[in-house]
Amino acid sequence: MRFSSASRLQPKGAFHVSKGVLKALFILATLVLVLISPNLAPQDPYKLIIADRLQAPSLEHWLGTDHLGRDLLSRIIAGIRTTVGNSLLILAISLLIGVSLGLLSGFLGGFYDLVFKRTVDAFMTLPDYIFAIVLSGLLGPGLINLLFAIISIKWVGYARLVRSVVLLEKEKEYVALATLSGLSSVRIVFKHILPHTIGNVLVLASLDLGKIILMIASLSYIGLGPQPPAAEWGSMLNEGRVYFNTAPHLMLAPGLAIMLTVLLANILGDRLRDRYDIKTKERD
Amino acid sequence: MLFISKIKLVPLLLLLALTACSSQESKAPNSTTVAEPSNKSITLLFNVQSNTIDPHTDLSYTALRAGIAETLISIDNALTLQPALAESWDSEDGQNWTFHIREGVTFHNGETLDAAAVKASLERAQELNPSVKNSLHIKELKAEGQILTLITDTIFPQLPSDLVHPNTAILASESTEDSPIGTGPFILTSFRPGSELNVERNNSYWGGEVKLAKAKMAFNEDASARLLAIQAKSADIVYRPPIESFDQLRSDSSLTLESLTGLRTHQLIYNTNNTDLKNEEVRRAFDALIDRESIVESIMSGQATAAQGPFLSEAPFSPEYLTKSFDLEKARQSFTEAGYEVENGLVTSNGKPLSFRLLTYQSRAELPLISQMIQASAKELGITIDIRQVDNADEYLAANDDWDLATYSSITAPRGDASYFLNAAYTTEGALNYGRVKQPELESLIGKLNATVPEAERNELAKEAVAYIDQHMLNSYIIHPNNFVVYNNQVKNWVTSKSEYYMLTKDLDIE
Repeated sequence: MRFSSASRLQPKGAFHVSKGVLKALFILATLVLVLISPNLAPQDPYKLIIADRLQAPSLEHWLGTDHLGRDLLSRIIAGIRTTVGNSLLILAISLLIGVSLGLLSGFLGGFYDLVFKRTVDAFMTLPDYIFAIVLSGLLGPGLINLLFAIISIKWVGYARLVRSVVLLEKEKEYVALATLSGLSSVRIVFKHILPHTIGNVLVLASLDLGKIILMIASLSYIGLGPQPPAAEWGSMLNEGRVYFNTAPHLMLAPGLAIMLTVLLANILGDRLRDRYDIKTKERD
Repeated sequence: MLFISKIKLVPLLLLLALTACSSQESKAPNSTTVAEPSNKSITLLFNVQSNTIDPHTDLSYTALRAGIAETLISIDNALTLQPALAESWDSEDGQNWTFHIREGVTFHNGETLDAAAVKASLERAQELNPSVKNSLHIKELKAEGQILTLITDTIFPQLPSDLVHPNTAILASESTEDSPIGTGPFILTSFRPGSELNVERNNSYWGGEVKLAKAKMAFNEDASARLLAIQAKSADIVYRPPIESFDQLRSDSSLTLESLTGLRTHQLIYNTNNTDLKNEEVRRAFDALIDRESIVESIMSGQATAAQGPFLSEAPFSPEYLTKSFDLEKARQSFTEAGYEVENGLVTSNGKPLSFRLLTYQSRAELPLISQMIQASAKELGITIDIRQVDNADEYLAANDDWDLATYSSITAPRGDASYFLNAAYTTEGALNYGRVKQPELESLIGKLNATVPEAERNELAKEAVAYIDQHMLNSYIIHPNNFVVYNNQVKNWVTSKSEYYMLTKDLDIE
């Protein structure tokens, strides 16, 4: 879902501010949704009413009921926290690890940088899906293991990106000036270099969000994610698969939820990229 | 612009998704129902995958089901024993047995079947499979021409019914683990573990002409895939289509759906190595968490009967089972009696909430659902149940001890006799004793049963043993599911075997 951004550069101005506000609102809305989603669900997403199983959408159950008679809409809403919430968590932790390691490596240079570079290179050779499947397969199914598996491949991209920006900035005169005027390295890194990386990192992160959501959903779909009865979109897809012939809404609802969220995340990512005018394609 | 170009992508993606779906359907070969008289073939799709083919060790009885190997004695749908490779058998004392081996039978490799071959095969089975050794109690085997003399180490009247078991199938001495050489109507031509096997007609079958030239037995654990296979005509006979599809299947005039009371029981196994589950009252509490009526009515759509014990209530060896009801209050009471604290309806042990790991598997689609129902009821009591789905339940349950509860399904009285199941599931070295049950009192009852000859007395002893299991809630028996098979109307002479031992037979035919 990436396009060359050069042709879509937007003029900066008032219009842009409103878009910034929109973005902020979007992020805020997502966060709020993630936090309060379990309370939004019209019915208890975990309450089994076996007699009502596999019902088609109705006024009482807007999206119908699943194979155990649970309200599907409520489960989709509860799934926002599990799927999107955990994606955001993964993103935050990957960012924290990636950005700090990238900053350190770029700024310290020398031996540290060499070790870092080789480690990152090693990680980059691993295909991310397969690595995540193998890792969570080895660790056993479960949410925590899944988070760990995805974080352990996702931090690399940020570290690499931040390091390259740091290397570029480090050579600039203002850094030399800051050093001359006696600022400590920590201050220089955090006060002067870090802000330069934020734009790039944000773009990569928002583009990554969709991928992480897909990854969580895919791994759950093959049974490596949160275990039943957790409301997670990927595992809901998996559970619905058995009833694909008789009750397709069981797969359509989580499938569409995943598609829409990923689409939104990707659009946000693209807009951000336009905003920060990043011409070079970032590596994953 | 950007947004529009994305929107354009959506139908493309949908199209991709659709084509991805359709390729799955067309993957299965579509040419199985060739009805040329000389070259008829059939495809049977079964729900449990088989990874091994050697009948002596295989837990899924594939070689027998596919008509490759045969046992000395078989069982019909009226649950009476029938002569198979043994023409007749008798014993005066229940310990010294004489079997007359059928004459004129040859193995697929041309070797003649005689008592010596049977002896060698039984020895191989005992050597490879400890549970065969434990169940047959053979002390001595003597072969002379077509006469096999068998002496058991104790009085063992149910020996003939144990010789019906697929693990005692008779193989030629040249058989290997991957290519069993039997006497059945079909010869194995290829076997792909977990996927399918192919057989072809045995032209010199002792039982007469074999109607089909070829047959394929394929495995697929996914109920929807099995449904698609019968609808797409890529399989002629399909075991256990999804219950949700029954209306759809019944309305299709080209298909026949058979559903009959089976001999199978779905159960909840308690791992008695777990300190909580060692306690009888805790097991009783779990039993009260099982909503049998809902399972029968909703999950099984009525295609099952609620189970009160391991055997159908009308079996001659079923005692008056204790009444079991779905009752959260009763479960709480049982926990209180077991010494757990129950406050505000929540159960704790020394202030800590309880948690258990429940194993289940997909090949019987209702088991994961039953698991989730138990999980939901347990949650009402503040008990966490962590559900794990495993691929090969038998192997997993036997080899691992990191589970507390397990849903399981087995044929409890395949041969009209209770002793097989009691021995397998409730003696220390029994092959199906996954719950690690050690009950000396029960074992001595089973021992007594094993040594008793008259049928009435045997039934009384079996009743006593089953009543003991029931009273001590060693396992929870959930439902007796129906056996359901759907086949297309071109298939002739299909018999849904109650014991589930026989599937591809010499008479099976296709138009």
